[in-house]
Formats: sequence, structure tokens, C-alpha cells
Amino acid sequence: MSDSVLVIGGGIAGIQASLDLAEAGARVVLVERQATIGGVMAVLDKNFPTLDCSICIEAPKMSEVDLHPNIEILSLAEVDSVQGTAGNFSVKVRQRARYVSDACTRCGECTIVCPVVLPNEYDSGMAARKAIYTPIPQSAPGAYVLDITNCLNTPPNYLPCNHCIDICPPKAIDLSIPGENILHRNVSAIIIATGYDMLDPRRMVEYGYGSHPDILTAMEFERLINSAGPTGGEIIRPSDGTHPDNILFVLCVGSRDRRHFRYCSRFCCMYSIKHAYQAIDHSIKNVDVLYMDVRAYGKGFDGFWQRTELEGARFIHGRPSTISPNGNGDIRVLYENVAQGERNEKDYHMVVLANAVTPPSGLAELTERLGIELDEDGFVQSEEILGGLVMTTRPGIYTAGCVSGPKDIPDSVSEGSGAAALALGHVKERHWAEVPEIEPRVDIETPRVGVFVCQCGSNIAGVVDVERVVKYADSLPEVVFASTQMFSCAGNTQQEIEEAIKRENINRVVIAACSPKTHESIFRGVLIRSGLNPYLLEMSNIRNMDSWVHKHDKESATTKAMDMVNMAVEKARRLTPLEASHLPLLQSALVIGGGIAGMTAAAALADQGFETHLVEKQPQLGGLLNHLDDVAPAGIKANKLVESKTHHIQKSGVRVHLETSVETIAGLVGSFDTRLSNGENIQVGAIVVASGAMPYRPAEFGYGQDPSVVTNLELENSLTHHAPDAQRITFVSCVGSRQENMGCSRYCCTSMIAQALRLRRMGKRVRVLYREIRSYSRQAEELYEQAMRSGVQFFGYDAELPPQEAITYQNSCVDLHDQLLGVNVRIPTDLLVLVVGLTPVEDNLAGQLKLSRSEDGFYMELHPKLGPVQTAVEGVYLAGTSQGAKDVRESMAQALAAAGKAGALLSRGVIEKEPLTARLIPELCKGCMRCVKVCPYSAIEQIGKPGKDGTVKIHEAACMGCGTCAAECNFDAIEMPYFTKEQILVQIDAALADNPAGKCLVFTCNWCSYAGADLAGIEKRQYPPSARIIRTMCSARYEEDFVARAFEKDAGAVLITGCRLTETGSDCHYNYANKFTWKRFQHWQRKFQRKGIDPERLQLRWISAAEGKEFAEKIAEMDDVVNQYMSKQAKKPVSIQE
Amino acid sequence: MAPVQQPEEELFVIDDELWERLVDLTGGTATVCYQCGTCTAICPWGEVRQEPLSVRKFMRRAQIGLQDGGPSLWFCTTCAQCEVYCPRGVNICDVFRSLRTIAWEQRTVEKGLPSLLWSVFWNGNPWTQPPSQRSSWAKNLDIPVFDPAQHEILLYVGCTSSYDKRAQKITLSLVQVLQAANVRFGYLGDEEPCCGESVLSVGHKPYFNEIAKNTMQVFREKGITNVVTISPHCYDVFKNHYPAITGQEITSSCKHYTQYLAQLLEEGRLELGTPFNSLTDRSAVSGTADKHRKITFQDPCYLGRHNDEYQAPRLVLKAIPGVELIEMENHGQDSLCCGGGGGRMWLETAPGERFSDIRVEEAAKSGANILATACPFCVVCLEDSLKGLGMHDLKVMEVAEIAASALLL
Repeated sequence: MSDSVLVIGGGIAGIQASLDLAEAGARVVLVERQATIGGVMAVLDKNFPTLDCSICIEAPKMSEVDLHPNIEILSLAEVDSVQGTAGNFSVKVRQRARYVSDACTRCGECTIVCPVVLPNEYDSGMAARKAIYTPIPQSAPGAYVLDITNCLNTPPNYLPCNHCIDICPPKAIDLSIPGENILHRNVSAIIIATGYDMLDPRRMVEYGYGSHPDILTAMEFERLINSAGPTGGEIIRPSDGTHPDNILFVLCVGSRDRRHFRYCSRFCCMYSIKHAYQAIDHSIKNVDVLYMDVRAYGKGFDGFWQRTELEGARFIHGRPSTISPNGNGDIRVLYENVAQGERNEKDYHMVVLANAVTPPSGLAELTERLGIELDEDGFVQSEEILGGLVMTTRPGIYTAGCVSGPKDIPDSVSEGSGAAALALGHVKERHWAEVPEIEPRVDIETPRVGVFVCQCGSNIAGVVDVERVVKYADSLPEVVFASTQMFSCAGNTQQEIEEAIKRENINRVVIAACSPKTHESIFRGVLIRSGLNPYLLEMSNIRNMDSWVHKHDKESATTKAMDMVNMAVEKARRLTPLEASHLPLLQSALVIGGGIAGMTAAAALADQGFETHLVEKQPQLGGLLNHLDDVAPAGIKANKLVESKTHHIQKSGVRVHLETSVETIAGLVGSFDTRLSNGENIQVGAIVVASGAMPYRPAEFGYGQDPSVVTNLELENSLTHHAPDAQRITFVSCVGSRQENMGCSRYCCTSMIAQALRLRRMGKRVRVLYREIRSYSRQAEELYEQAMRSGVQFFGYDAELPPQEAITYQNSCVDLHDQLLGVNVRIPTDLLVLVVGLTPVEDNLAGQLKLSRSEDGFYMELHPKLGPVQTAVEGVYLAGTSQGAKDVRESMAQALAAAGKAGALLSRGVIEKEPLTARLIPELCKGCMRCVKVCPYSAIEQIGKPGKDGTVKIHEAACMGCGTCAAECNFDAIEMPYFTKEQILVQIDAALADNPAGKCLVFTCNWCSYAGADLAGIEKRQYPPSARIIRTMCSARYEEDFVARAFEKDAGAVLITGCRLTETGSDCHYNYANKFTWKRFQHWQRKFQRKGIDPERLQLRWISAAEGKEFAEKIAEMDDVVNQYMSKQAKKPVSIQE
Repeated sequence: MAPVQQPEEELFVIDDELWERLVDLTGGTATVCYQCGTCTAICPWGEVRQEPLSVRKFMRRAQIGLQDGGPSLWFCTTCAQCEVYCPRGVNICDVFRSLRTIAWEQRTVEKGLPSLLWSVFWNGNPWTQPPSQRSSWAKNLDIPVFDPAQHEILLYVGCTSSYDKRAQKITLSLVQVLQAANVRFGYLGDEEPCCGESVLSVGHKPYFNEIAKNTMQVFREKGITNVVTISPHCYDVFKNHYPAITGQEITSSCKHYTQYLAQLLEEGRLELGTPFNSLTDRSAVSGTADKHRKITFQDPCYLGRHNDEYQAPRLVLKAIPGVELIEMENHGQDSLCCGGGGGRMWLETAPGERFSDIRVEEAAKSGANILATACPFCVVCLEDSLKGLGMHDLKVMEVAEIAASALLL
């Protein structure tokens, strides 16, 4: 059959691929070797550099996969054989039995009685499990599994144990079923995403792993800091259970080491920085990190490193020679501090080894069965010229994630989507599940509220007294049911909620747990499956905005949780069912930019059968590649790559518009209306922005005046023709990168090394002056070694300084302080090559598409980990360097991912519009037309003349739901569904019901300030518990009546927040709607001051999604205001008496 | 020269020619060094000095073409402990030797070293001994001069084992063992040429090359193909350095005597049947009340780390009844150098900075009565330390000596 795709491996890459395929209507067979999907990400604590809780963001996806009607998960299964060709593979799968049937109620009795105790693999063996167990709380599919090889009933034991079978209430355990099942599936394409293993550090005897219990692997440490881990998130020494005062993190353990693995394992630097940060956060005073080059190549990575250093972690350039028990219970480490040139012998309480990433066990056998090749390191070999790292050596088989070499989560996610895009090219038939025929619940007029309080392991319950919250919730009006749960989002718990809804006849649901930004869709799904309208749900974020930020004040956190639940219940009582509307969608796409990313995305979209337009300003396709000769590190000829892509573009039927630019873009997802510079109008349903980046134009080192100073791109261009005349060539790295707002440009180290090696092979004397060598990508470290071996000399200049300050160039001599030798050196130089970074392109797209830019000026992706190619604007995707600096290979992967995402959107032909758009109540409209003037999308049309006879019309398709109009209307004639005036007012009332003067009411917007508050929680920024947070989509939704009500109720203070508005721009997701917030705020301040409200008590502060720290600081400030007000209030009666 | 950042600091100009010389001399081995400092950290000088030898910085100098090592250039004992753990596989010892070669060219060598070279030049040995006395140790023995028609092997005695009074005992013991096994062997008497290892170790590569060619010429003329050496140092140059210089593989099959004895044992030609506890009477080990003899083995750097031979000497020792072989904390590839390699035998090492002092303490800590080794340098250094530290419960013995005592007489 040509409607299915086989995905092997259920880690984050496989999960992403499966979801994109299923969304696009393909059927998916997901084969996972373990008992649960989730992979490594499921056992990680936090993700760098955002410090997102790993499972928190992955669990929703796991559950989505589990619940998706198009996806069949075969866990405990392995691919046995594959026959056939692309478009028609027949696959044999061997599946081991789970021995626990669907009748399991997940009561856990079996685990209690099981006598067999084994190390738990999911805790890196640091905790125990039974022979019947559930791997992780969020386990999917199914919770419990029986480990038959260790069960006493089976060989070699044969002990008639049967404890679990006897105790199981629903008799769900059956040992008599066959231990193995052979399954056959026909698929049209295969995606291999089997992830990675890590080096057993016992192989490095000198590092003492196994000789001292407190020498840990990185993964063991990860479990130690995980609140769901063996110690509940406490860092304690396995040897004696004490808290370590100091920890050493060791990088490159078995990586970049000819005795073990020559390659760079790519993500260890960053997770070790994260570990160092977390160790400090756990009050460990002395945290040292031994590194060789810090490979902080991604967006925000350098900043995170700096921050960790500021927090107090010591980063020491060096590599231990030996690590061993010191005889007194601690661990002795011998290393040279390279910067100081000092040999150190230091004792540590704990040592954590960042052991090398290796190909997963069994990969060689699997790839043999699949008929694909491995590279010399044992990872899957890619056909780079065709599809970056995603294409294998066999047509119809694609890879995603670490199986083709180490990479971090966003890159794995990108490849997952990219592989899905390519696989979809083989899928001829699409299927979409019918809306489940669930009988809608009746009698929903009278609210019957159910409150579910999540413990989130110990994340919430460790701080908030959840039992008290439940009890309190139970006492609230119209609450008919309240209970607490370990993990509300876990598949099994979701089912509990469904059952409770049915049993208790609940028709309004309050989930007091984490952020609606990550989990709302999950719980909406629960409502849908229960026959309830999904908008009858309200979430209360008692984790990110309470337990995480008031760790040390359990009482206040509990009181605050009760307030928050009260606010949610009050809102929930007033929720009404809302129906999504189905709007038409054009099944065509526009790709802006004809560089490698744009070409790749366009071809992949056209291959999926969509009408695809590719717009390029230049007269030919290829972008920056047209100026390159070789593409590092694989050494592909740039023109060959352009040629092969051009051929692909032609073959797939992409409509190419050369020497054309996009003049205007209007409309929204499903029907963007674009006007090209050649006068043509194109209507498309989705847009891929691949407008690329600009090489930095240097002013340093006399560039432009001195002919002996060139950029690396000019050099590359000249290399296509001839070898340079210069004999002594010196490269300077990081010119224009890693300073001020500019991050690491990623591509340059590897590309520079490749050029240096080429020149060296021409017999030149070649020097490279580097800040840090970041040859993190596949084969790049090997290239680095090769360049060194061939005699390219590398000099490290002062990493604290930008190159123009660390290096001088005059009279054909480069002078610098060589950090490695600690002396000043002079290098005679005939040609100075400036290796320039990539800078964002100034274009007219951002404004028209309402795309936001991150600090460095590149377009901002939806989520740094799990949404690398999406944007906050529905239907607009990012590919290549427009999102941030990256190399050709990464650009191609991301382009494929964008094509996959866009393809999944376009494949259905309709879009569902969230029912959050403004609604007119015509009888209240006075025709003043104020709303028409303020709508940022011109979605409100004036009907008739202003005044008595006039009215307005709101265009649903154009309305984005910001609520600016509703706030502007003086007659309450516009209602914002789900954020109605009444709903907000009752939340205010509930928040201020008790001790109002001691509280600060905080109005937030969904995209930035609420996300910032979320982030403060994720980063565990502690702030005073006086804040009560209300969320709407945009700060422009807030109206004067809300502020008035707050002060009427004697709120201590009111803080208005929203996306940042600066003199130069706005982060607002609603086209500068927040400028109305600003205007109104100024008006309010004057007005309320006249009414006797101290202006201190009403403030506005812009908070971006990345500003958790700023949010926490602002709340602390507001707390002072509240306290001052309280003490004033306390004095008042006294003064009256006088 | 206009210094860049700190005017008071010296500015080094990268010297392309020097760098090319170094690349040429070292086969470019230092170029791949990524300056992690593992070598500096593991270097045994760190055990004895506050300011240890910065091995990494020497690699850096070689990498960019700078010569200015100062006196610490001559510290390196070429023990190769660093090479074991080098993640880039740099041949660190050879980089030191090459940097020393440059130092010879620039006439910036340590005092005392030129006289070593002159002695080799005039006397054919580094010990300033008369060539005519080379075979005086064999005066009363009836050892034939090597004849390819009759002899299986050439016993290559080496300079130290020919002249040093202590080391001569090793030679005599080995001769006894070979005779007991009926090995047909010969030697070269006073005509035995110096292998040149001492010259190589202090880095005079051009002169070493000359010596190697001359010695090889002698071997060729005398029809020598199977060489057994007493010193692991001679063994190392024959095996690892001669073939490249002379273009002949003759000496690549060379054996260290412990390897040869192990082979004889395996072939059943040699029997070491006298129980080791009866040895005490003959060898006059102090504290002989303990009848159970505990031996620990010091792996010589040039047998172990340089040539990966850890088994042969242990096989020989274990073949002796009654021997209990115990290991020191650091053994095998982590065995601590005696301090005698790399030309250090000809340089003064300050008291308190001798590796052998640490080593004998470690041996005593292991509970052994006998510290065995298989290298004349090790024997000399370790015995000096025993004397210096006044340790009487431990005795240093060469494997050949122990084997000789265990011969069935």
C-alpha cells in the first residue's frame, strides 16, 4: 500500500516525523524497541538553553502520537526484514509481548507485589524497578509492561511466582500469550530515527568510572537533578547520600579522542553548561567545568554560557589526565589549567563525565536489513548532495536525528519534519480521521465544575499543599468534583479525567497544573473525548507561576494556588461552548528566496503535489552558493549542489519567478495574497520564508582599503578560478560574530578550516586565528584534525575580546597574544582573510507577515526546541539562514522541515479557525467607529455613517483575535470569546477576594509577558507571592473597567504587561496593537491619579517571552509597592483617631 | 619589533624555517596536538616539582615553530607516560628529541651533555670508558665471538652492561641463563659498537643517524640477523629507529632478553626449577625469615610503554616456583619511570626530585621484598634511591639475576 510510512524509533525525531506524516494524512507505523516512546528526551530534566522542562514539552507530543488515529505504535518491536523498493516496501516486524492487556487500570498493585528488583534503565540504573513496571509516568503506549526475561515464572527461573497475576483486579496479566509476534506491514517509505547510545566510560580506565560511586555519567547526573528521578531532584552523592559542595564537569570524554571516537559529540558542551547552571541553582558553591572548546553554536547558546559563568561556574580550559578515588572518600582529578599553564591536583565531591555519543547498539544489523550504508564512524551514511543528512544511500529510506550523527533536539526535530516531507513524496493516498462520534454531553447550561489539581510529581506537590487546594476547590460554588493527580497530562491520568467528567457529570473543567501554552491542547483533547466542548476548559498555572517561583514559602504558595484555582473556577463557571469555523485554504505555497533553503523547500513541497511558487530576486537560483566553490565539511562542489537542486526544481514542477521580489503580502493562513514586483498576483495557503542572511561587511582590519585584506567569501569566490598569489595566508575567525547582538554564525569555523586545508595543500603557509574552534558538525572535527595534521597552524586569541581588539595587522604582520603559549607572537602575513559572520537581511517581509525577530535580528521561530521552523504566524514557516546563521547542510534540513510542516497544513484543504475572533453585539453598537480605527488588521468594516445609523462588520478571516476593538468600545458591543469582559472581571474579583491590598494584579498577554512569566517559573526565579496573573491574547484587550474594578476592590497595585514596544519596533504579535496599550495606559495613569491612586500603584512594563528574569524582578518591585501601600493603610486608622 | 599588547613583553616572530625543520624532524606529529594539557597533567615531574614540566607548551612550540625551551627542555625522561593518554596520538618523546636537536644546532644544551657525545665519539660508549675494556667483564668466561654459521643469536651487551660494575652482574647472570639453556650465542667483545641510544635521547639526531649507519654496517658485515639485547634502550633503537635510518629491517626482529627467555621457557629449552624460597640463602637477601618471596616488577619505560611488552618479564618471574608476583599501585602502562631515560643518566637530578625515590616507596608499600626490573638504568636508579633513603627491607634485582638464581644447578 502506498499510504503508509514506517518510522523506526520513537524518540523526539521519530515522534516529530510521525506527527507531521499523520497530520498530512499519511498512515504511520511507528516501531519502537523500548516499552515506551519518548527516547532520551523523556528522561532529561531540562533542555538548554531555555531550561524548558524536557518531559513537559515532550509529553504532549507523546500523547498526541499515542492518540492519533493515523499512527500505529508498535512498542517492544524491531524491524526484522525489508523487501521491495521506494513506494512499495514490505516490512516484517518482530514484536515482543507486553503481557499486560488493555484491561489494565494502571492501579500499580502488580508492581508492589512483584518480588524481583532490578536496576531501572530509565534512571540510568540509579533506582530500582520491578519485573512488572511502568517505565516513565508519561509512558506511551500503555503504562505497564512485564519484563519476561527477569520474571521468576519463566526460564531460567521456573519459580511459580504468579504474584502479579493473582493480585491484578481486572486480570490483565497473561503469561500464556506468545512471547513474540511477527507482523507484516506494507509501506511506501521508511524513516530511521533510532537515536544514539553513549560510550561506556569504563573504557576510559584513567577516568575512574566504576572505581568511585560519585564519578557519574552525564545521564546519571541528569536523572539526579530530575524531580522525577531517583532522588526527587536532589543532588546527592551516591556514595554516602550527602550533598556535594563541589562538582567537576568533564567534557569530551571519549569524543575528539583518537583512541575512542574522533568526532565531536556536538551537544555535550551545552548540556554540561546546563548541568553547571543547575548545580549552582541547587546551591552547590563550587562548580568547575573542564572544557577544550566550548561549542556554544546555537541561538542563545553563548548567552547561556555567559550567564552560567556569571552565576559562578568556573570554566577551565583543560582535560583531566586521571580521575581516581583519593582515599578519603573524595575524587582526585589531575589536569592542566591551560590558560594559566598550571598543573592542578584537585579533590572533588562529585565528577560528571560528558561521555561520547555513539551509534545506537544494533544499528549495523538494522541498516544491513534495510540495505543502507554506514559511515566510518558507524552512523548512517547520508547522500548530502540530495538532501542534507536526511537522505540515506537507498531511495525511499530517510533518516532523522542522531542516527546520522550527534545533534541536539531542534536539529533532530527539524530532521524529523524534513524526513516526513521527503517520505510524503512517496505517499499517494491520504486519510483523515473523521471527527470522533462522541455523544455530546447534554445539560451544560448549569455549570458543574470539576477541578483537577496536578502534583506534577513533586514539582507542584513539593511546594503546594495540593490536598488543601483540593479541599478548598471543593468548597467553591458550582464545583461538583475536585481531586489531585500525580501527572494530569499522562495518558492514563487523562483517562481518569474523562471518567470523572462522565461519572460526575462535569461540564466545566479546571486543570490546575502547568502552562496553558504547553498543555491546553492536551486537555482540550480530553474534553473532546468526553463529549464536552473544548472551550469549557480553564487552566490554572500553579506550577510555573506558583510552586516553581515560591519554593521557599510553601504556605504562601498554597494560599496563592487556592486564589488561582478560585479565579479559574470563577472564569470556568462563565465559559460557554465555542465552535471552530472551517475556512477555505488554498493548496499552494510560496517560497520566498531561491537559495539552497528555498530551493530545497520548494522542491519538497512540489514533490508533495502542491502548486509551489519560488520567488528569487537574482537572475539565477542558488543564492550564496553561487559564490562558493566547495561546501564544507563534506567537500561537495557548490555548483553541483545548485545544479542538482535546479534539476529537482524543474522536475518537480516548481514555478520559479526570477528577478522578482515580493512587494506586498496580505491575508492570512490559507489565503495569503501576494503581489510580486513583476505585477503578478499569487494566492497561496502557506509561505516559507527562506530569504537568507547577509555576509557581514567588515570595517575591521582596514578591509576595503587594504587590498591584502579579504573576506572568506571573496577568497572562496577566487578559489573557483585560481590559487591566490599570496604565500603566507592568515585567517581571522569571528569577524562580526559573537559580539553585541550577534551570535555564533555556525558555518564559519568548518568552512574556514576547509579553506585553510585547501590552501595548505597548495603549499601555502596557513594560519588560523580563532576564538574557539566550533567544528561541531558531522565530519567537521575530522576535517579540523586533518587541517592540523597537514600543517595549518592554529592560534587562539583572547576569547574575551572581539578579533579587532585582540589582533593587530600592520606592515604585513599579524600580532597577537597566543593564549596557548602565553606569549606575544608575530605572524608574517601576505593575505589576511576575515572570516565573516552572517547578519539578518533587512526586508519588508517582517512587517507584512507580522514576524517577530529575535535579539540578533533573525526571524524568531515558534519554539527554540520543538518549533524550529514554525513562526508565531500561522501558515508562515522559516527555512535556512533567515531564522539564524547555519551551514548548508542545516539549511537543507530546515528547509525540508518547513516543507513538511507547510505540507501538513496544506494537505487537508481547509483550516480550522479558533473561535477566538471578535464578535459584534449589534444591538449595543452605537456606530461610533472607534473599533474600525484601532483594528490592527483592518478587519472591521464601517457600515453606514458614524452615529445613529451606522454600524460595523467584523471579518472573521482577517480578525486575529487580539481584542483591541473590544477594549476600545465604550458600549461593550464587541465580545472576545473565551476572554469576555465578564470572565475577566470575575477573575479580578476572585483574585482580590481576600487581602486585596496585599496583592498586585498582573495583566499579561499570551505571547510575551505570560510566556515571560512562564519562563521565570521554568528558570525557577523566585519572586514574592503577591502577584495574581490574568491572561488574555494581547495586552490591547485590557480595558479601563478592569483597572477601575481592581482599585475599587482595593488592589495593592496593578501591573499591565505585554510584548515589548520600543521606539524602533514592537514584538507584538498583533501588528503593533500594543501601542494602544501604551496610549491607554498613559491615559489611565493620569485619570487614576486624579482619583487619588498613587501612580506607583498602576504600572506598565513590557516583558518579552525570553525575560523570565525581568518578570521576576518587576514582580519584586511591585511587591515593594504593595507593601508600602499596606503599611500606609495600616497607619491610616491611627491618623484618623488622632 | 613593535610589541602588541603589553610593551614590556617579548614578541616572538613565527619562524617558518624552524617550523619546517621541526615538522621534518618529527614527521609532523605535534601538528595535531589540540593543547588539552593531558600530557602536562600526567607527567611524573608533577610528582616531584612545584613547577612541573609543561609538556603541552613544548608541543605548542613545535607546532608553531618556536624554540625557547630553557633548561626544562632537558627534563623529559622520554618515559612516554603522556603518550599513553594523549587523545591525539602525538609522539611526544620524539618532539622533545627534535626540539633538543634544534638546541644542539643553536648550541643551547645543558652542561655535561657535550662530553657525553664526545665520549661516544672517542670511546664508543657514553661512559668515558676505554674501548679496550669493553669486554673485560667476560675475561674469565669462555664466550665465543659471534659467528653466523654457529650462533643462533648475537648477545648485544650494550655500553652500560659492559662497563657499569652493577650492571655487569646482569650480563653475567644472563650469560649463565643462556648457557644453562644451551643457547648457541656469541658476542662482539671489544668490537661491539655503541647503539647510539644515549645520543638519540639527548636529541642529537644527525649524529645518532651516523652511529646507526655505522653500527648497522658492522652488523651487516658480521652477518648478524638475530639480536638479543640486555637493555630495553638498545632494544628500542634497534627495533624502532634503525630500520627507518638504515633502510634495512635487520634489527626490527631484535628481541629484549626477557622476551627471548620467555620464548625459551615456552619452547621448553629453559627450566627455572629451583624454588625461589631456597634462593634466599644464596642471594643473601636481608630479612630472610620470610620464606615466601614477594616480587614486584618495575616495567622499564622502553620495554613497556615504548614497546608494549608487559608480559614477557612477568612470564619469566612467574615460571620460578615459589615466586609471588604482586603489582605496585602504578604498573603496566602507568608504571612510574625511574628517571634514567631521555639522557637523564648524564644529568644531575636534585635530591627530592628523583622519580626512583617515589618508586621504591611505592614498591615497599606493595609489600614486596624484591623490586625486580629489566633495565640497567632502572637497576642503577632504584638502587641509588634505596641507599639514599636507607631502605633495607627491599632489594632491587634484575630479572636476569633472579632467573639465574633459579636455574637448576
